[in-house]
Amino acid sequence: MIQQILNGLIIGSMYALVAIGFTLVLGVLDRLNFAHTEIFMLGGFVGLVVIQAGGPLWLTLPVAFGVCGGMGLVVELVCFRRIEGDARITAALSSVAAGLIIDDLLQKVYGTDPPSLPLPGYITDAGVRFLDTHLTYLDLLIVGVTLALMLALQLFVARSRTGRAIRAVADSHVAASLLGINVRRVTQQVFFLSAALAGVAGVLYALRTDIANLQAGLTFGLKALAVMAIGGMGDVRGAVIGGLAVGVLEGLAFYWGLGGYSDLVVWIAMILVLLVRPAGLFGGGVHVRELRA
Amino acid sequence: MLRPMALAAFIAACLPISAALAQEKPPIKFGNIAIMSGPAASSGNMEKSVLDVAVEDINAAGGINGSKVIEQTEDAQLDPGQAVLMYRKLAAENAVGVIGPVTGTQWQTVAPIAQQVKVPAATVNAVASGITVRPWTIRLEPPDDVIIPQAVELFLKKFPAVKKVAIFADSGESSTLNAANLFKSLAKKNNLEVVGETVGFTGKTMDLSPAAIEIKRLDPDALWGSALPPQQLLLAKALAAQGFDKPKLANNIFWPGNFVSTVGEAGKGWYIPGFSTNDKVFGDNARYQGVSKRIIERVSKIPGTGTNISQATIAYDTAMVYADILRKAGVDGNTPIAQAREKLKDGFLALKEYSGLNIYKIMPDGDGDVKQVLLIVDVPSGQWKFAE
Amino acid sequence: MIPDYVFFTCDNILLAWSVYAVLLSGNLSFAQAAFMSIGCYAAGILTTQYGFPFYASIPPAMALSAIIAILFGFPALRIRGIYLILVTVGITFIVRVALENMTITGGVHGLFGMSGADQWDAVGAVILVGALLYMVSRSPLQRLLDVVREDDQVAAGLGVNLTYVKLVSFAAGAAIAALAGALYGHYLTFVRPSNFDILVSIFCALYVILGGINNMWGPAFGAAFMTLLPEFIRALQGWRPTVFGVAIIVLLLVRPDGVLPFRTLSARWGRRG
Repeated sequence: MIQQILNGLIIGSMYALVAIGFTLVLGVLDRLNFAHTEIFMLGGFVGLVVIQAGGPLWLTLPVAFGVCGGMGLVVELVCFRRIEGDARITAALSSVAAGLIIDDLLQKVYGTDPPSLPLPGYITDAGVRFLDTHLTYLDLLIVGVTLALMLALQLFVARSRTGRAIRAVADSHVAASLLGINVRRVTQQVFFLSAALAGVAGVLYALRTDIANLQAGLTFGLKALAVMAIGGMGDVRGAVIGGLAVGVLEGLAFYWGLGGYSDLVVWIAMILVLLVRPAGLFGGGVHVRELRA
Repeated sequence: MLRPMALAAFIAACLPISAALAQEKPPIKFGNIAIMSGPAASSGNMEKSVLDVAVEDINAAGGINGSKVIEQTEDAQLDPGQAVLMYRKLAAENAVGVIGPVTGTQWQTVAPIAQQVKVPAATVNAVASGITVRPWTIRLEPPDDVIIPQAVELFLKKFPAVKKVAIFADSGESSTLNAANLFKSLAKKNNLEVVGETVGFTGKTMDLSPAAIEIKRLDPDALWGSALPPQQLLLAKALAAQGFDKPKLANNIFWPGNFVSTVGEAGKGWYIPGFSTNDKVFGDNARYQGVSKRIIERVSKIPGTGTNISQATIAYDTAMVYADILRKAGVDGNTPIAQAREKLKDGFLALKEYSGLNIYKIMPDGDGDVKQVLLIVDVPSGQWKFAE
Repeated sequence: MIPDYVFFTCDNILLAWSVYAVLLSGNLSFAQAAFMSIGCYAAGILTTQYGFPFYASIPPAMALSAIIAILFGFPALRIRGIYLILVTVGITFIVRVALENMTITGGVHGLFGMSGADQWDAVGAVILVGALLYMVSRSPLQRLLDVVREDDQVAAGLGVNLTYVKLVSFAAGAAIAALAGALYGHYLTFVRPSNFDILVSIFCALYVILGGINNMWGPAFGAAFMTLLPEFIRALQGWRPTVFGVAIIVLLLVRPDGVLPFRTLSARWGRRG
């Protein structure tokens, strides 16, 4: 059982990473980027390309960060730039369409069976023992990278100049622009960051499951959105705690013999949480925003 | 005034001659419903390539009583609604018979409709039992309830010391769930202990590490079960990551496709039932050498398809069965289509056994029976080979 | 062949309208696949296990779907915006798993033996529902829905019971989806829970966005266009999602309100509302 919990924490940290990206765009920019899940999936393929080109393992992370971040910029430009105000729902759906396209194009290039990521054994087999469980170095890498990114994000938003600009825009676009902040630039930066995080999560996920999977967006990615809802819109802490909790619960579902329902865990948890706290666990904390569909 | 008349007379004289020259028999059309796009398109590409080779061979042997065979392929993707649409389309476009559709759901949807539309159909891939409907449909592929008992018998002969078995299943999919339940009941019949509940997951589960951890915890002597190819691959890798090294038996659902070429070391210890490899069949092996080369040549040109022929030999044999029946019935391209279809259907009913690349017995319910052997992954080549 | 095209086009139009019905009160629902499946299975069980004639099985199926919509909707519709969208996604998954685990539905093995629907039934359904929607659009109800959708704080200030209106609209959408589902099942003769995947929900929402969200013709156009387009352009067959996606993005850039963006004439004022 401990094993399932530890395993769940590892999976959960990947959920958290994807959820953070989504919640960032939502909390700061009040936008729903449904292409987020497909960018997560794209990350896995970027990692595949790097490894197939003979690059070292560590290179996959920064490359995915950059490429997927760039994709985020593209999505912002194509789907969100022109649309303001109450047409936000159409922008969101436009991003769904963008996601579909990314998915289909990748399918055309890579064919249909998920390609395998050739990984060196030292990372997938060797590891340490902790609480009677075998944790591979890859598992540790995943947790490490996730923690590092979360910390970095936290510091970035709190300390850096861009971070301050982001917080200003989050409070109010109008006030921020009055203060001379280039809102469009900030928008781009946030989209970039969010997508970059999703991309890294995608690489980690692909490394863990050993394949670059076209279905990852609609399965894993969609669940990460539910995680975000559990944690609360715009709240990074919520995304992390929600992600870890869901990861552990899914693992425990297998322990209790309910593996067939493990995918439902997150949706039921989300509905239950929203019934009790309609803004999510930590919603209404930093960003109180009335959301209109 | 003579010239136009002479010209007209000349043309009039030519007409019967040109008509006689054009007196080649109209072709006979075989329809093919396969998955040509979407996540499972590689299977469709393989199947079409095999059929192309079969059609070539039929035509090289003189076609069907002088009429060439042509093939029309339609894409059903993974949608039973599309399968029905494509079946009706091929019926409307004068296919004498249809090969396909492929998945269990699609076959289950089309087989009853075939009785009304009255166009013969034969699936080459579906393994769920009890869904072939006579007389208008037939299946050379043995169903799971014929394959799995043979597989279990072979496995237990190889591993007589097995006492405890764990079962895994994709519980969200009818054919895998049925297969896993069949494994379970066969385990009990053989006086083996089934440890734990069936470890279930769905076709949407992408991370099978919790399942693998649970299976390891149950500590069985062997693992039996069934899952769709993507989950099967993930499970194999997750089990390897957990260090689970007991022998594993599954049904043949991932015999086709790229499991064998991508699983690598994690494929060790997996056994599946099958009846051929890329190099050898138990039927007309001499002919197969040439046929398999041509198939691989065609298929190598289509990206993402891989060269694992697996059970696509059934598609070849099915086309040959059609051609045989029609030839013997004296059908050619001039036969009215309804009559040609009747003849094909009658041939289905009369078919008791067939020897092609593989050797088939046809059972009373319209399904095939082929003798099974155990196959394992040959890691260096990424192909299946016979287990010794 | 042609009957099949007619049938599936009409069925998709109904699904698009079911999304539209919910959109009228300002909510986007990704749960229509779930309600479609409820309608399909309910009608199917009635016809295959209780001997109902096909037409008689439809009203109970629609009613059941509407009731379940109200049950889900009552707590959910007080949640706003994206949360609601995600809840509707959750509903789709939950209903599907529920169907897979009930013996009466045949579970993952599916339900078969349904029959009795043909393309004329689908056309008839489209005409019926279309007429209903048209009547609504010319009635005071349309104004009410407009207010609730556009600015619900004003609506609340005017004494409108928001939750009630949204629930009715959600239930209506569920009922229409159920109708589409009953037709679908009795046409295909065999369904499994996996026929009602989340992608179905996503697609029918996209039909509406493509066609235009401000009136009832838009969704119908979007559904018809996307169903028939791959048939007309052979080369595009394998590229359906990309074509769909590009069409939507381009359209939204050029005409953010969809292809047919005009609002329906208000009966009362006789001019664009």
